[in-house]
Amino acid sequence: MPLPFKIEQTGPTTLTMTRGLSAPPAKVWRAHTEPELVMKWMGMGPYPIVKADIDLKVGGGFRYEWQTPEGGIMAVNGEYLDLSAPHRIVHTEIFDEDWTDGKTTVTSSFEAVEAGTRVTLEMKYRSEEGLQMALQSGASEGVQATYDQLADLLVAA
Amino acid sequence: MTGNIAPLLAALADPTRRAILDRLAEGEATVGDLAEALSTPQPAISRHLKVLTEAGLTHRRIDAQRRPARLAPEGFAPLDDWTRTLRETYETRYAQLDRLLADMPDEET
Repeated sequence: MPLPFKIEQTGPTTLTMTRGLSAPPAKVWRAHTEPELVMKWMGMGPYPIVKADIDLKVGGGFRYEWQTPEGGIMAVNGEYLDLSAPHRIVHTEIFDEDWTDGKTTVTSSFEAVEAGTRVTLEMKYRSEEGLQMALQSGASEGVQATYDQLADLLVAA
Repeated sequence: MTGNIAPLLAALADPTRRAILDRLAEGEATVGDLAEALSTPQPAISRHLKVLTEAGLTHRRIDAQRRPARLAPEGFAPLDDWTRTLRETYETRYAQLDRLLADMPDEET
């Protein structure tokens, strides 16, 4: 593996992940954009992927569905904002059962390096303006309630 | 799955707020203590503390005339949970992607 997995905060509401892959960007691009290939790697352990619909054009969208251990379906819907094969995909995404407080904008970059491809995944959670509005409007009370529940859990544990 | 992490990320993005958290990691401190330690005006410290408290990362305690701030370590839990979930999810996925890429024939690229 050319470059180990790394995750770091790179902006006010942005997490960035990097990972090296031993294949050229053209193959990595196909693995991210062809449904039958997406199905082969986007599963998550106890959450097998059961559906990948892709309308690969700017303004087009995608929907992935995973089976949950309880027998339900977890799904993410997204829209493509930029498609620059084979190097860059920008899309928004939102899970049916949302836990990130709205749309996340994801920029996937596939950079050719000697060992293959360096993948950079930048995940921007909502807008900073939206955040400030939420903080000022008292929407953070909901967040506080979550922390209170967590604190209760930690005390109980 | 986890709490909303966006306010946490926003709160942690500011260097002065990170410096406040570093200082509070050593023990509770008043606005005056923090202003002196960080060479930052008290009103600015107060504003930053408000953001940190709203994000759940600090508490204010009322102690007579003083309102010392202290770290709320449990406030970091949603971010820890979220980054751990992301790491586990993507490490699993990329290991699967490694195998897929190794199996993909060259002529189709």
